[in-house]
Amino acid sequence: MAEVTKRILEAVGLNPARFRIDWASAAEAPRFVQIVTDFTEAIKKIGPLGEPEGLDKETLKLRLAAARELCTKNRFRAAYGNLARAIKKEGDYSPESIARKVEEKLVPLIKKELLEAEIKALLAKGPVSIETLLSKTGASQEEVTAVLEGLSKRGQVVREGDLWQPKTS
Amino acid sequence: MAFEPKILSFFCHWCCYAAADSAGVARYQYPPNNRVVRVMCTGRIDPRFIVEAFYVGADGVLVGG
Amino acid sequence: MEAGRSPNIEIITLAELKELSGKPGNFKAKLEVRPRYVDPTKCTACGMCTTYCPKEIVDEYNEGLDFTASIHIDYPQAVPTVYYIDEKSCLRLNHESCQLCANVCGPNAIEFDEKPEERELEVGAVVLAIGFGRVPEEVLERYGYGKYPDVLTSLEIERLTCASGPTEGEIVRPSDFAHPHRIAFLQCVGSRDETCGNGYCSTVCCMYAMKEASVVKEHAPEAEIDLFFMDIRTMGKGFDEAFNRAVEKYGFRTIYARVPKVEQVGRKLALTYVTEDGKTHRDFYDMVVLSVGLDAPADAERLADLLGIELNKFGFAATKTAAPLETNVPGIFVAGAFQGPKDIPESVVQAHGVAAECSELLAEARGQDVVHKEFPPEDVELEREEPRIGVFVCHCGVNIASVVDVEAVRDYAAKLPHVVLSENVMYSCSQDAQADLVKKIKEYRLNRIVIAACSPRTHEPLFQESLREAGLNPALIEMANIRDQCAWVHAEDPEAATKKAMDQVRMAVAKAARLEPLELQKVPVTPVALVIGGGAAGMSAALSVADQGYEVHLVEREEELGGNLRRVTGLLSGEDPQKILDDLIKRVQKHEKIKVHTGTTVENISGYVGNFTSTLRRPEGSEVVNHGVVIIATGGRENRPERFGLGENDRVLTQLDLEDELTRKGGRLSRARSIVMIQCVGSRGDGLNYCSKLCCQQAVKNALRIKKRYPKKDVYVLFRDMRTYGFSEDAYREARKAGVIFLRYQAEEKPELVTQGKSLRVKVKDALLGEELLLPCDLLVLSVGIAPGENEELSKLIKAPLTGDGFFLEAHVKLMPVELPVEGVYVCGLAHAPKPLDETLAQARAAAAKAVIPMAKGFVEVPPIVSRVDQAKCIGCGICADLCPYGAIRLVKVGKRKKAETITASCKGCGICASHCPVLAISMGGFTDEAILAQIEAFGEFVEKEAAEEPKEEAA
Repeated sequence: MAEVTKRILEAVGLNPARFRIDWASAAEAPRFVQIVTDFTEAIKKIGPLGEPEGLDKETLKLRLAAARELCTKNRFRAAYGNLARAIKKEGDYSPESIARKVEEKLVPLIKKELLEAEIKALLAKGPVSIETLLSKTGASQEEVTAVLEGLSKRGQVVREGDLWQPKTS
Repeated sequence: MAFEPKILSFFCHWCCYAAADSAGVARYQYPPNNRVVRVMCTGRIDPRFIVEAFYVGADGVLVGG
Repeated sequence: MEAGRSPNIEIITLAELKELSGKPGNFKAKLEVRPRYVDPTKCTACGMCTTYCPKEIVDEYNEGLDFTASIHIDYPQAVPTVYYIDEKSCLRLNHESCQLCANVCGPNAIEFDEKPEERELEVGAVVLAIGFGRVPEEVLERYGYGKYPDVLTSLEIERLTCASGPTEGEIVRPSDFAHPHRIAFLQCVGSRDETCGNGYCSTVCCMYAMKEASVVKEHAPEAEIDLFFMDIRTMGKGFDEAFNRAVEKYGFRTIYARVPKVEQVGRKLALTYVTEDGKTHRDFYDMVVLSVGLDAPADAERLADLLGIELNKFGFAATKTAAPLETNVPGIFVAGAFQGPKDIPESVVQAHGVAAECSELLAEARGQDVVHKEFPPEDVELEREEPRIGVFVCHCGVNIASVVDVEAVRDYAAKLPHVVLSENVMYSCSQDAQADLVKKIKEYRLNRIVIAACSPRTHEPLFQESLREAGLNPALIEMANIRDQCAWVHAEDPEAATKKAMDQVRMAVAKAARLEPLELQKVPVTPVALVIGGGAAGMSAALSVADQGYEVHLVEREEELGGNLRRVTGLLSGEDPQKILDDLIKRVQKHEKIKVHTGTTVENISGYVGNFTSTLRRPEGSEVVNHGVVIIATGGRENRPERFGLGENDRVLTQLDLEDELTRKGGRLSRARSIVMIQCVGSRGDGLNYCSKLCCQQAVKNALRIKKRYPKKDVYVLFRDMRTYGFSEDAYREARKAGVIFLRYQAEEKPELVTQGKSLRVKVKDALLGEELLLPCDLLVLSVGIAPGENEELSKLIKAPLTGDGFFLEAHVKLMPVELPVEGVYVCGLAHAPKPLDETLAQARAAAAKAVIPMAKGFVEVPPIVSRVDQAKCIGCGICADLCPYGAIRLVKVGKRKKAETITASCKGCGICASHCPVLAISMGGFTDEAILAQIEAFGEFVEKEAAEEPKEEAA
């Protein structure tokens, strides 16, 4: 869970250190205090959400909305659930192994789905050029083109000249 | 004004939430920036909760097992 | 906590038993109850009294390493969570001079006039669980304790390493508060030492020393720690493994030497000791920890006189191997360290076992005086209405109100959506406030309640009860923790604390609006037990369950009952194991509630706690039985490794073979002049990874039996660590006195068997001489250990995991030592781990006690925090079923498709299923996605509010 969450934040463009998971048993009050204090300090250092990451409010909202959508998508959730199942079956809970598996199985999916959601959200506001999409999403030409082609194959977007827009039926 | 981060915490009923209570009993002091959601176990935590927290504007999210 | 909350357990503290009369089932007990000077029904444990008490006293709970006040509580989790006045030091009680605590106590709980009280109780049985005593100071003084400040006891280290202890977990030397670099742990202080009267082994110290040393290392990684042992006695389940892991991880040095004394040289402590090779060493340390043993409890003799119970020569309760939990007085039982030094898991096992003893004795009267609370029916109509939320903001005297502006929080809450009533309460947990809550619910037709006060962990059950009294479902409450996690921890910033309290209240209200009534799930229980395994463990468990009044199917794979005990012919206690076995078999066969199935195997166990169905297979056909619980007592088997020619050479036996030999006249034993025993053959990393716990006792026992019968024969025992723990240390000493020769060998230099012509010799390196010895050997007896039985198949049938060593894994080593992670399934005997007979018998009763609980209740009640699957959404992928740690989700056929279904009785509410469901088809009672998301959304308003405030401030 932690690893996946961090990778989603990364994909959104947020510092993954904004999310932390730690443990303190019922008897470890001082440790708990340490955890909360340290984390608060760490976040103070990082700064307000989006600011140090160079994300303006609008982009941030857009991307987080895309991440929200991702988290409820069956495809992502199935992959996430299956990965957890595979890890449990193998019994290898070392951070390295989990990180490797998440990198292999989930990160490409996260990136692709996020980008798709973002592009859809941008297109929903009106026709957009590839250049605008590139600058708003921060993705590469190849990635954006791949998403647009996929969407157009499914008949969800059309291209008119240099601009792309959602297909209206 | 100094930046006061807004932190959402998810604490496990049996562990961190209990530790947080003990910290209170012992009168330890810590920064007042976090707000707490109690869950029965960290297994309950869905990545979407974390994303949602950032979506509504959290500067940081802490999960305590 | 659990005991404190049960309506059927009354905890009487500060009490002493003064008289006991009557007979089993019908005792009268006279108690003297000393005053606490604080009314437990009023005290809210706010701690104000301690803060103001001017009289400082030494904190005995913290081993005198800290100070506390005359009115105090030992530690925050103490039960009852009520402060008390130390009579000896209180200024008011002794000098009539002070009453600050009474002045500051909000709820007026202080009662200086309280007098000692006599109470008479009618009880059916008595359990003595008086624990252990302390090793006298004069024994500790031999090691410089009291004279040199940096010589500490292990109990003191326990407090020092405690995060909430006097140093908050920092390890410092008392002499100069410096961090010690070199630390020595001296074992067997006040144990295995006849000079102080404690000839026995305290059993727990080797393990706790390792634990303490590990904790010290965690706190102070630079510390170098040496542990001085006579033998390393880590014989419990998984202990060797844990010990070795710690030694490797932390680089402990383990030294076989008994350190005779400690001297102070400058700022260091000098230890002079002789190792087993005869060399003398002198080393310097910054701190020395005395691993103190467990003495007989101080009150033992007084109780023995009072009750007529026998003590053993060390002052512990005398018990028999066949009945480890019974004193010589019927109806008076014993459990825990008073029965003999033991660790937490063993104590908990005995505690469970003793509950079975009482339940057997009092079976007839079961349920007679049980307290059940009755509640009015729920107002379903009201619950279905739109949320009408009542918010109660607690002052908790000044605990919350002195920091948080509770009136402001109240006014803030009043404006939140769905809130129809918002009030302040002085003490929301007080009885009158509870009554008022019930009244307000009815008056304002409230259907959701938010209590902004302390922690739901401690107080939610109380409020839930009030809800039920008011005819509301107990799930319709949400607490906002504005005391423990707000006022108390942000005392220096009232403004921020008030803001936080408002936010937590808003989040609680948001969640409350989405709370749904949850049915308290009750699953009926078939009052029949299935006991698998007809050895000593299985038969004792079956007898206990049957004597407690429930039917038992006892299944044994072989054609006759008895298991491994059939091969044991003597016991250290002098009791006859075959008589114990015969008694068990006879009682089992005669018992009208026990149906014995010999020559039978169990196939196909399906169902869940309360409702299992199993197929019992016999060669001639199978039978299906229904039962509510399962006890696994499938035993273990003798390990027979191919070492030293075992199985080929008829002069090589195992200890169990020898048991048989010892009953014969003539034969190999009588002809042998020199008998060599080798311990740990095929164990402790040589084949089996673990220690089998009982072989050392068995070897000593058999060596003694040989010496008794044939005093002239030579007996050698070659060992790695003699693990004659507890009172069997006596037998070890006796064996040495009787001339049995004990020689330690190293794991890396194992003894070898050498053939010289027709005669055999055992070659072993002697540590003291530094030479190899050739011992004449006419009979070689191997202590081979106990291998797990065929547990794997059963583990799959029952879906309960095994340990890496192949034994059943208990649900919790300390708290649930006989329960498996699968609810309704229990384990005892060698199926759990190798152990001697007395421990097996105690554990069998423990398993029986636990197994009877659901049957006696008649139903299994499930807290409504369980998961529920919306089968319309479910796609049957099975991820939830695979991830569930409790086997509480199964796939069932619904029409043509597979769907997940929660086995409510097994669910613990962790929610891992819900968080991993691809189609969001699973909801958690009380913690639905909607409720949690509503809390997060409400949190978001805090962000927005702040954001809205910020520019204003900048403008100003």
